[in-house]
Amino acid sequence: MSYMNAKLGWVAISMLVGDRVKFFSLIFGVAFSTLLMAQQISFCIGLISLSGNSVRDIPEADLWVMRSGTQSVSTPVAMPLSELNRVKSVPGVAWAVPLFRGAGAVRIADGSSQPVALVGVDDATLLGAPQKLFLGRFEDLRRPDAIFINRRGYQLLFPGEPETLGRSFELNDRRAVVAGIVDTLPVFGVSRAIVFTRYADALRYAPSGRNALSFILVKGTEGQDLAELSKRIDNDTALKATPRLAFVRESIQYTISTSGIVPSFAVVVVLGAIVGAVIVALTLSLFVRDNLRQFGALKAIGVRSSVLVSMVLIQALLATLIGFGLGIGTAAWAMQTLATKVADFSTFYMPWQVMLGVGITVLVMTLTASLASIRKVVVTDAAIVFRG
Amino acid sequence: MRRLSSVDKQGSTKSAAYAAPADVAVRCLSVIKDFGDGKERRRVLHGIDLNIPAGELTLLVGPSGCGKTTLVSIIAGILSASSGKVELFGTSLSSLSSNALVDFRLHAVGFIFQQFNLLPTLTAAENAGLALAAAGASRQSATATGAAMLSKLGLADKLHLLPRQLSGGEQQRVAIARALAASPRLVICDEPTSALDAASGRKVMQLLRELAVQPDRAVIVVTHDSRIYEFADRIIAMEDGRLVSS
Repeated sequence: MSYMNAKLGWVAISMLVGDRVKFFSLIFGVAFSTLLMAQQISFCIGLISLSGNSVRDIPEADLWVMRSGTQSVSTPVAMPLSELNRVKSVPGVAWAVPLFRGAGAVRIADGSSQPVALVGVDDATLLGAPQKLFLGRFEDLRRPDAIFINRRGYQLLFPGEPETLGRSFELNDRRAVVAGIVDTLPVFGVSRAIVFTRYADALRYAPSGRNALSFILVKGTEGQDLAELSKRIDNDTALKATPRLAFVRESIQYTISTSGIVPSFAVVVVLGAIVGAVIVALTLSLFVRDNLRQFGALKAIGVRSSVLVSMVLIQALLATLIGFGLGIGTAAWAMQTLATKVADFSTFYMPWQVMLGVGITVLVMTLTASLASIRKVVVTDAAIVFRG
Repeated sequence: MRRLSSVDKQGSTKSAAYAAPADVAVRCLSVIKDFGDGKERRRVLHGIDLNIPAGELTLLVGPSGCGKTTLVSIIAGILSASSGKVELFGTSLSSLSSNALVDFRLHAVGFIFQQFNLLPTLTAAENAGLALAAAGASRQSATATGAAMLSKLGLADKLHLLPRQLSGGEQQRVAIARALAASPRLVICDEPTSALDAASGRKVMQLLRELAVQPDRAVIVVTHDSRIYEFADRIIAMEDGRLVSS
């Protein structure tokens, strides 16, 4: 921007701010659009990211080994337990433990049924159980009929009741006793209650025939290259070994490709951008039209068209900056409130990439919306000022 | 007060008194202006030859649609002539590039419009300093100069008011301040008194005479208002795109 353009910036800002209705309309348009896009994209990302949380919750494992064909943590293709020993025998494996993942139904006090996710962890080491125990002791999971349940699940099964140990309920028509209440990351799907039990008990609750093993959790030996170990397991067992974070991404990708969530949110985001652009374009156009004589007067005085264009751009950018600030601030506050008030959304946040992306989108949107107004200013005949 | 000195029938090119270029503020040679193309083409100026001397206030009068506004628009470089030549203080406007013409107008020409065309969100002082700001002066400096000019025009107590808080006469004085703040050599006024009552109109013309008419400057006033004829040094009458006697 040239020296002269910058010098008239204060005139442009004064013209814009002085017309309060249009100024606030512009800000509202940008803020609304920003809020809608940022909140919806962040929510969508948060929702989809839930599908990787069951993997994130077990940080001890370096690799997740599964049958080829398994696409996510929630859709395991079961394998025989004998595969566990084959994996254990692969050089570079420090330990390997079984993990069962299945579904169950809990009969609750009012007689209705509540779906739960059933997770069976290694009987001996309890590896695979959540790290954060809110109530109880880890070793109590070894007691007969003992289960751990996540806090969200407890609230679903016993709504409004205090969290206490020793309560029992029917899980797939078998008795289960709450021996511990754990903190887990929220998960994606219908059943937000997660019941953890020992592997052997999990098979009792959910008989699965010969193929009862969902995953094998593997820790590499000290200094072991995980990519190499993964390849070795693939070759030696014909199973698929995936590093933990890669499996998080695979699970998320699976949800993206199968759930239809992304297109649903994308529609709202696109609508937000379109509505915002229309509001900005119409308001800016009205603003320029109403100030056409003033722009004409400036042109007659000897202000170059390029300076007038920069004035319109300054006006559009100022409204964009304020509107974006308000919109992104509100969206961030909404996400933060959601994360702190709603347990199922506790991992939700607004990634900085979303802020940047929405910022660029809004900028492009307002600049595009400004084009018609800029054209109007450029083609305005300075002689307009001589017409009464 | 200088009284009306002459009424020129064909424009001053016929007068040897204004032949010396140093004294000529505006020189028009065979200026023709057409609007539209082909069958739609309409000629609004028919070969205007005109010299306007520096140091005088010239009235351009005539009925509506006679081409007065078109002529001053061409003189100011806002419109270009279809043919012919226009010089301002020896500078041929047609020799200037588009941007150079705009810059020339910024520094050499001041405007006073019928509808004032003040920016409604700027104070009187800011409006008065607008041409200076457009020329690159800082906001502070332009506003200070605008305020000084407004003080000369008797508006020292209204510097911080917005145009809507001023009377019509006061707004026109702000417009005069805006036109004069950058010390342009040519001031073009389009019906400066038509939106004002008689007293305000007289006041505006008195101020124009006092402040704008300098030996090296010229003032052209387009008007229908016969009440202000007495303030003119020269009156040029137009009819149907030609200069005529009044």
